[in-house]
Amino acid sequence: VYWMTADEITEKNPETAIIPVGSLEQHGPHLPVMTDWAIAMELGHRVGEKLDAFVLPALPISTCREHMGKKGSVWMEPLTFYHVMEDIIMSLKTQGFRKVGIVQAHGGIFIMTPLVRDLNAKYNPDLMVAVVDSSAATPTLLQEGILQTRGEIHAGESETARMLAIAPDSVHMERAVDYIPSEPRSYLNYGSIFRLSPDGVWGNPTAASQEQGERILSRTASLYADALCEAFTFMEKKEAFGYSCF
Amino acid sequence: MYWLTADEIAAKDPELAIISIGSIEQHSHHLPVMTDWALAMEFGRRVAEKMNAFALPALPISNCREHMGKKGSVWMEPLTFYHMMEDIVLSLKTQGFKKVGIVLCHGGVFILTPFIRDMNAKYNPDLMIAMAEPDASALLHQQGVLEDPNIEIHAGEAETSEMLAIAPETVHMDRAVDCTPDAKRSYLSYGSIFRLSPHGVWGKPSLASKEKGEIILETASDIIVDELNKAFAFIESKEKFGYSNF
Repeated sequence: VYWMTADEITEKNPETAIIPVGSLEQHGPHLPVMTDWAIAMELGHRVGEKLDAFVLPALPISTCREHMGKKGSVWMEPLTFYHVMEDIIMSLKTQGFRKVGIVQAHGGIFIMTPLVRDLNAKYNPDLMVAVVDSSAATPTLLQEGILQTRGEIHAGESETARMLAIAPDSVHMERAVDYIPSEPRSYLNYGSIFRLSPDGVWGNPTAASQEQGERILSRTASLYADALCEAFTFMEKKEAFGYSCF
Repeated sequence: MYWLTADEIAAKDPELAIISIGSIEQHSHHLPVMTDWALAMEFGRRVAEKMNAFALPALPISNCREHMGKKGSVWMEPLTFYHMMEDIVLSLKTQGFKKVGIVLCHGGVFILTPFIRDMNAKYNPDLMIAMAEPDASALLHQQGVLEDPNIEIHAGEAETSEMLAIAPETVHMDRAVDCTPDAKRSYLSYGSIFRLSPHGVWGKPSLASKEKGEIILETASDIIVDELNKAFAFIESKEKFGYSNF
């Protein structure tokens, strides 16, 4: 991990690297723009520990044009982001990492699917890339009663609770507003979130609590670690099919 | 409309262009590799007619590494596809098209979401892009036309029925095999479809018929027209928010 010296890392010789990915973007009236980045750092560390992995510093900026309208959201082009990720992952492959787990803390990075699919199609079995985001945790969190409200896309119960656990000073619960738009999520391709939700929220932040935040983080880290392991196991057992190792 | 002369097109002066997207990829034992392209041609023509739009020839090749393993699937890189679409759409914008409707006839083109989001974020209100897929399954299942209750991903009841209606001489029903893998669709980023379904099918083609195909073609075309119209109306109704037209 990045606070170790190169010699210490050599001695551990990890085969898995974790890349946490955040975003800088508006998070309603009550959460800071650093929210996704802060959560990426926290979950990246926790998942990295469970997998005994090399954890990279969380990437603070990705793609978030769906939050255009107020100052403070910062994005790059999806194609630039693809190249950034490809370069970083290839640098890990060159030094002998075989598995890369991406911990994605911002849902709006749709270029991630083509990136992961293409890298696996090209480099399996020498390199295996897996990705997890909230879809790997939310159904279980709801089922186990850790989360109460459904339909969260942005700055709702889950995200607010996690920020209350990670950086309570940056959360302004008295300004929290609940809102779930009636449009489908794909409408974020047709206009920014402010067209659908005047406060830039998609969920129920008022349901969040600090104690719940710690439970969400801890359970999510386990679920993410399990989901990454399952994906790596699935890829490892493949044999050549026709001309293809994918 | 591509069979019209330039003067004829100038006289009609359409403001909407339709780009339908296919793929050349394995479609199990019973359907030809041209399936998605044939569907794209058919849906593109029907939708353009209903919307009085300029239809481009259906694009035959896109992204399909999830079908690697047998010869005959052809792909380009997702980033190449993004650049190609950007070039085509901007050429339409330059000549005064204000709306572009994408009719997506191959589910595996995940780069289209970042593409559409970015183009709208950059060029609204001068240019508006919307996308729809020919999926009438939920409605037709409710109406008792389609029988398979599972979600069809590839070469199943619906797609096979459509091909029986469009090009029956290319369909080999005697070779059709049903299979609904017990896996998440996201695993197609971790291995080709042959890892999940030995026959490269994800659905129940044995339930297909020409009659169902004709109903699907008509119903799905209407759904596409409706979804594109709703999306354009939504984009057109936006006013400036902060610094942003998105």
